[in-house]
Amino acid sequence: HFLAAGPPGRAGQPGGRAAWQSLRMDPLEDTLRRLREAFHAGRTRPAEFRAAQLRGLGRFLQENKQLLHDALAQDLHKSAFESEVSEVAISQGKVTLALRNLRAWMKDERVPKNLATQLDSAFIRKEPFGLVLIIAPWNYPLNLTLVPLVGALAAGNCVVLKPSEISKNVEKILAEVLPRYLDQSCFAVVLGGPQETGQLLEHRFDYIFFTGSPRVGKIVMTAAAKHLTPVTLELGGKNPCYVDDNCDPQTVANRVAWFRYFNAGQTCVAPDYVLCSPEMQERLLPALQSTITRFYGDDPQSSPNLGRIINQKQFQRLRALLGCGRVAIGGQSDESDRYIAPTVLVDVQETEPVMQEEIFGPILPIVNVQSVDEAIEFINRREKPLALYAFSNSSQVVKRVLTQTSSGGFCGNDGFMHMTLASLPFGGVGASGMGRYHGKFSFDTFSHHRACLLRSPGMEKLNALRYPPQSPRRLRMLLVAMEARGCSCTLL
Amino acid sequence: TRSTNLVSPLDSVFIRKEPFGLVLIIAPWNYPLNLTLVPLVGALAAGNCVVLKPSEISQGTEKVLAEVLPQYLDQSCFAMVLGGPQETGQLLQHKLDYIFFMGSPRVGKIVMTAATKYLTPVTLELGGKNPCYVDDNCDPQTMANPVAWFRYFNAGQTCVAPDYVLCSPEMQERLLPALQSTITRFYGDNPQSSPNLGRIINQKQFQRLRALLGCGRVAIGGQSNESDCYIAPTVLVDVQETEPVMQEEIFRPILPIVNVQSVDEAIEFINRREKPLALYAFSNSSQVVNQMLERTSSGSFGGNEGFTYISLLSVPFGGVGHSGMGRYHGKFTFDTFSHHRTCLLAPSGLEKLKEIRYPPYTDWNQQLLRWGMGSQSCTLL
Repeated sequence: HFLAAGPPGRAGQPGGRAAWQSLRMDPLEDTLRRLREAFHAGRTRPAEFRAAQLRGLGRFLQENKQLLHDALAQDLHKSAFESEVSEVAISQGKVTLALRNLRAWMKDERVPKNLATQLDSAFIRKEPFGLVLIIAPWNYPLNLTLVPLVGALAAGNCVVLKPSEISKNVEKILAEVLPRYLDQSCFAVVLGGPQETGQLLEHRFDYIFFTGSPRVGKIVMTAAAKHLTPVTLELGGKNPCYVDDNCDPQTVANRVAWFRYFNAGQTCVAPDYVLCSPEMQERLLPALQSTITRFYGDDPQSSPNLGRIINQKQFQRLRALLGCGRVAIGGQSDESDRYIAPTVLVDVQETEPVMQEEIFGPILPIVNVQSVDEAIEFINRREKPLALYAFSNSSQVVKRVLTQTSSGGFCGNDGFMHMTLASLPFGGVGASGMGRYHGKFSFDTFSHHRACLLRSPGMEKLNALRYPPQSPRRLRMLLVAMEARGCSCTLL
Repeated sequence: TRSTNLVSPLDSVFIRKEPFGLVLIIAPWNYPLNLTLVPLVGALAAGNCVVLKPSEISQGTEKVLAEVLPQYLDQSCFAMVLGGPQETGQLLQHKLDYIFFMGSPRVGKIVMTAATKYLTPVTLELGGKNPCYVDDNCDPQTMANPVAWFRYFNAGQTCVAPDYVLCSPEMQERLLPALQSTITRFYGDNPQSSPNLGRIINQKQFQRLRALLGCGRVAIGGQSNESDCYIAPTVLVDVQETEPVMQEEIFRPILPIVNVQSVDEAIEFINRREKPLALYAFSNSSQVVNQMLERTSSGSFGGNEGFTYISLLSVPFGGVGHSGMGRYHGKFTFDTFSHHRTCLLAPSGLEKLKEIRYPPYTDWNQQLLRWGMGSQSCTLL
């Protein structure tokens, strides 16, 4: 493996990866040591430094927007709309939010005191962990790399970034262009595949932020355990989408289809499968067909608004899933284009492959249930998903699904809109992940919250009460002092 | 409610706290009631079912927890599991939804590795060597009191006790008589007969004693009695960084003093080592205290004071680095044992409002959406 932390201007050589090996080779150990030294020297602590890094990220996005759009189109056939809405604008929004709130987030939090600490200064100080590793996925290669990065930098950490090697074109930009906008004594990009990532994980980090599959999440957590490194794991699962009989099928079809086929289904929070009654299914299918035609035209392969599968491996996997149940809508595929049509499968059994793994493609199986209770039981038999959706005109039904299940996040009558809100935490539960981020939650994720108590040395006389030899009376007074809120009664 | 951007004002947005499910609490022996019950309070308050594994080492308390406590709880939602390391290992093979562990870093790694199997989130309250810096600009008697009290409380078996002192040779000269005076005041001339001094938990913990007392030179105390599991409040001097007493968490009533020439040297010494659970700095100068605070990291920090912050329910209690991950106390315990689920409830109708986001796209769509997403306080629709 090798690092792309070298001097700028080497970009654009033809021949792909082999050409990069002519860049200055920088052993991993040296880079990590360099970053640690910079951290210990305190470079990343001042707010001005962090703000400068964030502004650098902002300029990276603004000055390279077309480059990024092109790369996203090459990797995933993302439309300008999708690139803007789900990659560039979201990342820019996070940068702006962090810049606006940086000082407020960094501030010591004063806390209420008890009587024993009334004259002390008590607060929570947010401190960077130190050296943070961010391992990013390929499906939203800009967003899911930059949004954690914003949090890690705002919190004052030094960062090692491991972008996905699968989204090759965005990887290239992150490796060659992004470092120019950041202070490279505190930031490095490491490239490579599973093997290089495994080597990277043998080293000690102070925090690891991983986005990817549960299978690799376990590998990351096991590696982290060796050094007692805390982790955030943003994983995945099969996100159920319950559609009640009491529904307008066209409305539901619009919403479900948009969230399912966005980015050609390669979204960790997309509705993965539908649960509904056979009657509802009868009404839903024509509505879905109508929606798909409206969104992508009669020939979706020629629509600029439909993405492509990231690579051959994923394509082959998805094409095999088309054999499950019966194709009700779509089902076409084109290997040379890594194209899979927006597809709906019916008559699907729980045991078939399409119901065994996260689909991560533009395929929507429908599984029949007779009632909302059956749907809830079905959901609760399985691993807790990252997202859960329930569609119904009845708010009682929606609330019932909410109350009787668990998931990372929940949306009633819509798709993953909850992700766009910076003020809400985003994360999984159970097999779908641990930890959370977005907005201030990113800052908090990458900070250690240190409880601090500062006493004036002259106050020592007041401590006399606690020292041995003890008496029952003194014990009573001490207990009062520990419990009482200072403002309502005084001991002396 | 939360500030929204792309979402309409007709959506209901909130965070719901949900229990994880089946929680395992593995408790230690040094504060066997406190460190078992306080996490239990949080786990129960958060709505979880709980499996409690109290320490088998604090046998008297274990018996009470095993036989009496369940009578006070609904036993369909609460169970005790007893046993030693082997039984605990077996327990960890099962699927749990949260694991709360208190103990050593060594066992913490075992717990976290086991938790990986089912991607179970963990809180690890571990330990370390908590440095206690004593500045030259100090009244020795004033700070001998808190240092001794926090060190010898529970016969030193406290995860946040000051583990070792860093000070100049000059300060050491003034500190030693002050510490002796304090120890005599607290525990009398014969500490072994004082009702206010604890004992070491068992013979096994007693074993390393000879090796520890052989480090440096005994300046105060040093007496011990194995059959009583008694160790006198002890202070060691002339201690080298490489000696055993500076290599492991002491967890006994022994306080080594290591000499440094300056605050900077103390900070460098501290930063060469694992991040501790607690860090203390004593100085009349608030600048010195703040320097210590700013240039080090630890679970928590006390300036001119020991671990009084533990009594404050408004601060989180937890470690960092090798001293642990996660936190609890007060509301933080409830939050630790809850999954914070982001929820959005949209109206089922009003589809027209959502149309703007659907393909096929025009420039106008994009403009409007970008504006909607960018704004913090106003809504698109």
